Amino acid sequence: MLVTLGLILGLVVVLALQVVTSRRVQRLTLPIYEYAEEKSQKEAERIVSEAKNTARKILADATSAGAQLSASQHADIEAFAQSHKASLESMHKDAAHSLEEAAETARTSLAKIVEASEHDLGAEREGIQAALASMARELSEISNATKAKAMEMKTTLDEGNRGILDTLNTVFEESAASGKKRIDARIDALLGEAERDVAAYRDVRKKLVDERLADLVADATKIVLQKTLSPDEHADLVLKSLKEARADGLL
Amino acid sequence: MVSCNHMNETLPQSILSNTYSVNDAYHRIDMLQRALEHAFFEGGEQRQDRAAMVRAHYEGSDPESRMHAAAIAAWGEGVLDTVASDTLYARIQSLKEAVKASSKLTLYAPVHLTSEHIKWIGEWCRAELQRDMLLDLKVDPSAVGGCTLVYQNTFHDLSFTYFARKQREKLVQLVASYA
Repeated sequence: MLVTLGLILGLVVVLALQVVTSRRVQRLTLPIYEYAEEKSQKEAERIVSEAKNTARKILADATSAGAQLSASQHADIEAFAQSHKASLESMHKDAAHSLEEAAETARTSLAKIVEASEHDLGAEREGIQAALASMARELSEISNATKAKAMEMKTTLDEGNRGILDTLNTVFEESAASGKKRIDARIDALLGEAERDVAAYRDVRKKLVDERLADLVADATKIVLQKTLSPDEHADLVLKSLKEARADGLL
Repeated sequence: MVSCNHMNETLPQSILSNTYSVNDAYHRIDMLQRALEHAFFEGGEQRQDRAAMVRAHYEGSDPESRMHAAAIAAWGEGVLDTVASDTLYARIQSLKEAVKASSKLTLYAPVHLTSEHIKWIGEWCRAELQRDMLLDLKVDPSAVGGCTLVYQNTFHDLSFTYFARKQREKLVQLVASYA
């Protein structure tokens, strides 16, 4: 019974180890390491299979022996069981040890492979990292150089722009001042011309009015005199006009 | 107007002595013709005194006609007695031709002048301008304040305008003083 339980327990343990190992190997597995996993798995399966066979055989023997044996063979059976127990335990230990060794081997192989791959990857990674670092350094250098150059150009452009802007401002201010002066001078000239034109026009009109003033007064007076003078006064004015014209040398 | 009477008969001095305008001359000659026609051809009273006959012919007329009749009568025998019944129209025509040919001064007055006014002006013109000239009087209301005239083919404006222009500077100063 104990042997059976032990065998069953051993089988369970072995199975558990197998699962755990397979899972671990699966987590760390790279395609090229399937052989190691498979190998260890096969080893473990072989051992487990042997253990099973042995246990089955023992169990069959024990069962058959137990069926056939009497109470009198119980001691033998017990002794047999004890000896087989020792053998089972030894086999269990061997199986476990083999499993452990296989697992260890698989782990070691896997570790080596991983280590190697890690070493390779590390080297590769280090190489890549080194290259990346180098590229980063170069890019950084280029960036710094570009920045420096850009700053230099910016400084130069700024100085140039400032110079140009200063020049433009100066030119603009001078142009504005000179333009304003010209405009003011032109406005003054136009105003002067306008004032002179207005004065001339006023003088001409005034002269014209003065020249026509006598006619205007005469026309206005005629209208009044026609209605207010008597025939004798008219005749008197006729004679006076003749005398005055004679005196002026007109007649 | 310049006289062109060197080939034609001139107006007798008796007519010029009391006739100063062309209108009066033509009017009085026509009145003389009517009076003589009445006496010669219409059975009117014929008198030796032609002057009295003319006055008698217009005795019942308006005062102006009587005034003209008196002026005709004053022309004397040198004009009135030279007219016969067979020379009436020839004589009348020659007198009119003489009026037409006499020197004239065309005068535009603002109103119709009376005979007395015409006499004043006529006497002055004959004394100052030209002897034996006749006034060709016309009415022009715009000639107020004086007159306008045509003398020796030249127009003269002697109306108020003339005198105002003579005093233009004073008028301008006057207007300026009010400005």
